[in-house]
Amino acid sequence: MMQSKTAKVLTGGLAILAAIGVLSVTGSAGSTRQARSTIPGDGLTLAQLQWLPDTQVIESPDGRITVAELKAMRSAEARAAEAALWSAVDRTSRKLRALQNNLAQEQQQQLDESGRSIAVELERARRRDALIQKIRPEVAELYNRTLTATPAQRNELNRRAAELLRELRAVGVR
Amino acid sequence: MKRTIAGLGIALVLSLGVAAAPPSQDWGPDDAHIGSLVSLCLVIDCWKLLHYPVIKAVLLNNIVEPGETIILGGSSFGTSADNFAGGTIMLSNGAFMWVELSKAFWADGAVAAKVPKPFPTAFGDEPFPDQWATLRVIRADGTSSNAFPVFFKAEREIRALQYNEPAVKLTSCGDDGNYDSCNKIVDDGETPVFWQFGTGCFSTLCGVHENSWGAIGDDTGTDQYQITLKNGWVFEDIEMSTYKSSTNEIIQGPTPSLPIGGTSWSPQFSWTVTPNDRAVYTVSVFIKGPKGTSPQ
Repeated sequence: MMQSKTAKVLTGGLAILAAIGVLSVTGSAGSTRQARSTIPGDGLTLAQLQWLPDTQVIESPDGRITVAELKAMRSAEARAAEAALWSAVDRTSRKLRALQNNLAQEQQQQLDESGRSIAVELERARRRDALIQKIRPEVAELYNRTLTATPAQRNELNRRAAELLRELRAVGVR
Repeated sequence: MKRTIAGLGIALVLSLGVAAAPPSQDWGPDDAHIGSLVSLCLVIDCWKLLHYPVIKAVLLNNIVEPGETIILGGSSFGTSADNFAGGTIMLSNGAFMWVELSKAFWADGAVAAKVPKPFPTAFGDEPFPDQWATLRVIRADGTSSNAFPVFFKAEREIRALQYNEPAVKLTSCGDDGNYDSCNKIVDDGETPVFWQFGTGCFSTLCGVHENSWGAIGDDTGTDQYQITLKNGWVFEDIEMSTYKSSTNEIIQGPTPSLPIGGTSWSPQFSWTVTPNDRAVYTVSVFIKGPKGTSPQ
């Protein structure tokens, strides 16, 4: 069964304020105030509860309860709520640490895998460099010969150059 | 403004703005239309005219990440025979910051270098986000190669998003309870029915709905939020906790579930609270993105 929020505030809140208004306040502690009437519990806020005397009776559709009893109920609930809060904080911190550890491990694995690929690629690079150094004098000679070569000789030199280029391309030289 | 990390080596130039497309190479040989000897001489500088190094390809690790080693293929990087082996590889960005990479291997046709980790920050210690950058080889004789485009991927971190960050927005908060609070925004004029703890929200999404003692009927409603991530940040995971003061409370959600790897999420939570009870949910959203940068 539902009641509108506005209706709740009007019936509950005003009745509580009215009840507080008729109280004879003799001190700051709730227990020293005197209860003059029963009040409806609907809309009763924590601040209002703390102002009411412990002997004040609060009504609800399910029965009556004193402020002292309701405060005791709230205290027990507060302990459970606080424990739940800290448990949630703890779970969240642990999950964040776990996610961060996983990320660090993934990054390390990636670097390790990359390291293996680097070793292979560097070996290829060394082989390519060795081939370049080996054919470098011949390439220089080919070029020098083209400076004085006839067209037919140039074709022949170019054919040899194509062979060397294929050798280089075969080992990945770009 | 320009900041240069001096020294011989290998460097990357990075910009603080995230480029949408790779920069074009500013030079590169096209050996498809020239003779074999000419092509050969572009690889081996036989006529001593190609006095500049040429980066033709990234042979390994095309995406440049801190801690990774990249290998560049090309020509005329320098040989000991020519008396100028070695040099610099620079990685640069649009903020004109040059980052020198430490050399691991140097030969005329290939060089390898390691990207520093931790990666240097820009002016004011601002970290670099993901972006297109350019690589340059600068030989020991001072000759610079073409600028070769590479994608720079910043180091990643995982963190929890906080409820008060701009990326997190409250769309609507159900207000049927005697006290309704979503991400510390309390429904007008309401004060708590139950004792509150701490700041009231230590995570990304927090809903508190309370129904007073003696209330007539249950309170029920729906809360909705919107989270939008930017700058390369994505959703990684969530941790949700609920607290119900009795077994009668109902909290359903988030709906839809977190789009892991996504950048936009509109989670919704439905709740029902019986009289003299409260229902609380907290959701920590963990996000992954470029270390030190803002997700919003």
